[in-house]
Amino acid sequence: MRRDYLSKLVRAARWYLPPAEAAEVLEDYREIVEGRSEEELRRDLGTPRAAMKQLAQPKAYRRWLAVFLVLSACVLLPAADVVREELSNLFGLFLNYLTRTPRYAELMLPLGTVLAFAWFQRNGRREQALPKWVVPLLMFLLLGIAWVSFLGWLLFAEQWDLLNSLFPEERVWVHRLTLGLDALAAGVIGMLGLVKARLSDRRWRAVYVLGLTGAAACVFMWKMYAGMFWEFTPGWQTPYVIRYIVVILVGLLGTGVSLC
Amino acid sequence: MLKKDLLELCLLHLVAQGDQYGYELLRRLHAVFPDVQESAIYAILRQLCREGATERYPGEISGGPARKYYRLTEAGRARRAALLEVWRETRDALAALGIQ
Repeated sequence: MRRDYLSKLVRAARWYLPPAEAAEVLEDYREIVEGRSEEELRRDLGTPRAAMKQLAQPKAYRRWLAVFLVLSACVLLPAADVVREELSNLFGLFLNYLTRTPRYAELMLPLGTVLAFAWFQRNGRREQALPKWVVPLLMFLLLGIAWVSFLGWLLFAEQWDLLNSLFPEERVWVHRLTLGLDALAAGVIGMLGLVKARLSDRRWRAVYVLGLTGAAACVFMWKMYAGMFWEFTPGWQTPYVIRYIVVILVGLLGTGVSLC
Repeated sequence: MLKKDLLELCLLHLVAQGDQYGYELLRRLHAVFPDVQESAIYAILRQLCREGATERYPGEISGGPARKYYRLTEAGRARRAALLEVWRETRDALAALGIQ
């Protein structure tokens, strides 16, 4: 039970305090909690969250919350946009204010990448070994991006026969649904990476950045399919291909750098 | 004078008597103020350290991790004197009203 209290205390300390201070406080608390039952600890120290919250310096903690809010918005808004749009199609609501600015998801990628890198470089911990779930989650996100890129190839290479055979007219919504779910999964995994980067090892930010890339790629492709703004003049796809490649390259580069 | 100031004064007073390690300070103060949680006392101790009133240093290692000791700084001595002055004024003001 005491171990439970201590592990909650570790999480709370790393959430509320800067890394160096959290390490000092936890060093002290290891001695303080020694030899006491869970009940005694809760009576003498309060809940782990309350104990750490009173140690937080308001200005530093508010700064972290602001960064967390911006980073969360970067990774969740694109996914939420797709879900909202699908719901608005389903219920016939007019809620497409965000789709009027279709490039915002692409702008959030460099913003989230740079901010996550800079923040956790200065305010993040780094363990010796790479956390064990980072690589499987990166692989999973890369699979999602590969699927989106495959859908992009069908469109940009004008593989209409293959597209029609994979998604016949009566199932044309399937690829949009997979893009929506892919964006949502990338957003949720990205959020997990963000929280873990604060609580555990800063290299979790790589999961955040690739989640962000996945979400941006999904929204990009979803808008291509859902927006129906293709013009079949020769070379119509060039600007879209360039934009998509830039999104993927920025994301992959950011992910690689974030693993350092 | 707020209770937080009283706790600050007590902590500074205890450290002024000689360098002490954090856990010992918490236990001694919690024994006198059982209604105050040790985490709250620890928060005040950290704040004093952050403000430069006390300094934290590792003690000698004897079969475990080094204990962290606290000692008073010049700023801490000045802070203790100021708080003591406020405490005496408060005590005299209460005595003047017949509150013992």
